[in-house]
Formats: sequence, structure tokens, C-alpha cells
Amino acid sequence: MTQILNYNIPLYQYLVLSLILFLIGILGLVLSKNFIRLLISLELILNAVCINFIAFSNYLDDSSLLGMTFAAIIVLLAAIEVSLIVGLIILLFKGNVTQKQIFEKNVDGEKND
Amino acid sequence: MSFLSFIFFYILSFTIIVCAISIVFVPKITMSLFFAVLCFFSIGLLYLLLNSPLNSIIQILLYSFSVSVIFAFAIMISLKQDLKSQIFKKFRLKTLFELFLPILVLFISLLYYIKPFKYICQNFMIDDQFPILKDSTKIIATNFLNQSNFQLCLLSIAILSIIIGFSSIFVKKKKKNTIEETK
Repeated sequence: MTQILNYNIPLYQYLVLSLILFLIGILGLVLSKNFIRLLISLELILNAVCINFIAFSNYLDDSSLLGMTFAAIIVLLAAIEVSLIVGLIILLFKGNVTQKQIFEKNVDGEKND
Repeated sequence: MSFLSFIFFYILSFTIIVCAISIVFVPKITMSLFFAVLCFFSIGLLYLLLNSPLNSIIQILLYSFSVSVIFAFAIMISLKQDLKSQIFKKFRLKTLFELFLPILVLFISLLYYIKPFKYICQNFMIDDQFPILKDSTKIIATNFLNQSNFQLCLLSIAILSIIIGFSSIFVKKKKKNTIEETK
């Protein structure tokens, strides 16, 4: 399968795709008020980085698998990060704190009842 | 084959960008999660084009399945609503017969009548590319595909689903009329 789909696509197309994904991720980080959507947009940024790593490792250096291993490590780290943050969310919601209150805390620096 | 890879790349990149935009701008968080799953899955498929199947497997298994489940769990906790009941309220058996099944059957029948698909099906069953398939299963499958049984099955399912869908709509209208009359 992978031999049939050989790299006739130029490198810059992958780079443009990853750039667009990265920008959308940053836009999501800036605009989103929801905590979970913020996390998903962070994942988008990480995915854009992964695409860059794999594309460069595939096109520039065929022999070493450095970029691919980096991408795999990034994916694993992202998964761990997500699980940790979701754990934190669960801990927060155990104490009857709403999502709106978390966001308002961050903005105002005050406690809301 | 380069043309095939080009088509794959453009389809996947289009889905990735559209899904990424919709993650940010869709008002419902559950819908944004759904788009995120689709986006991560298509990124995993994109890694296949870059000759890295291991990364694609990791991406699909970790991101599009396990991480999405964690996100769904977080959403269910944070919303403090019964998400399961909310989904099942919208998704009823009637809607399956009204919308999904007829569209799916029509799509499959369209695919079947397109020649390349038919060619692939026949080759898949007749040629010895897949030695795992036994002879008996091969014979049954070829008979099922080559003869008109398959088409008749599809047609019957489509007709049945359309009849059930229309009847359900008719019953709904009748119920509404009766409620209005009583009022």
C-alpha cells in the first residue's frame, strides 16, 4: 500500500496543510471559552507539528526514522497530557465547580461562589 | 498511481481543514468532539501517504479512539446532563427507517452499479489474490455478486425502508391532526 502511494506530492503541500492546521489551532486557543475545546485545539497544534516531522523525515532523510519516532513520542505525550487534564477536570467537578466558574476565575482572579 | 495519491491527499486535506475549522466554530461541544475524531482519523490516514504506517496506527488508536473517549467522558461530567438519554431521544428507530437506511441502501446500490466497483468485487471474489478464502465461500460469494440476488436484496431493503418511513410519517401526521382536533 505504502509502496503504491509513493511520494509524488511535493513537500510544500504538506507544509501548507500543517501551517493551516497550526493557525486554526492557535485561533481555537485564542477564541474558545470552553475548556475542552481549548484542549482539542491544543491537540490540533500538536498534530500539525507531527505532520511536519513525518513529512520532513520522509522527504529529506529516508534512512533514519528520527522524525517518525519524534512524532510517535509527541502523540504519546499528548495522550498522557489529555488524560492528566481530564483527571484535573474531574477533580474540579467533584467539588461542584462549574465550567463557567473556572473560566471566570482565570479571567478575574477572584473566587466565584 | 501518482494520480491516486494526489486524489487521496486532496480529499484528506480538505476533510482535515474543514473539520479543524468546525471544531473551533461549531456551537455544540459534542459536535466539535465528533469533528475532532474525524480530523484525527483523517490525519492518521494521511500518515499512510507519508510511508509511516506505524504512526498512522498510533494516531488512529490513540487519538481518534482513546483520547476521544476521554474527551467524551469529560464532556459528560462537565455538562452535568444525561448525554446518553439526550442522544437516544433524538435518534429513534423511525428516523433510521426514514432517513438513514434508504440513503445508505441507495448509496450502496449506486456504488454497485458503477463499473469499477463491480470490477473490484468480481476480482476480489474470483481471482486467487486472497488464498485465505475457501472454495465454498468463494462460490457462494460469486453467485451472490454475479447473479441478480444481490440487486434484488438491495431493492427489497430500499422499498421496505421507504414504505416503513412513509408510513411512520403518515402516522405522525395523523396523531398531530387528532391532537389538534381534541384541542
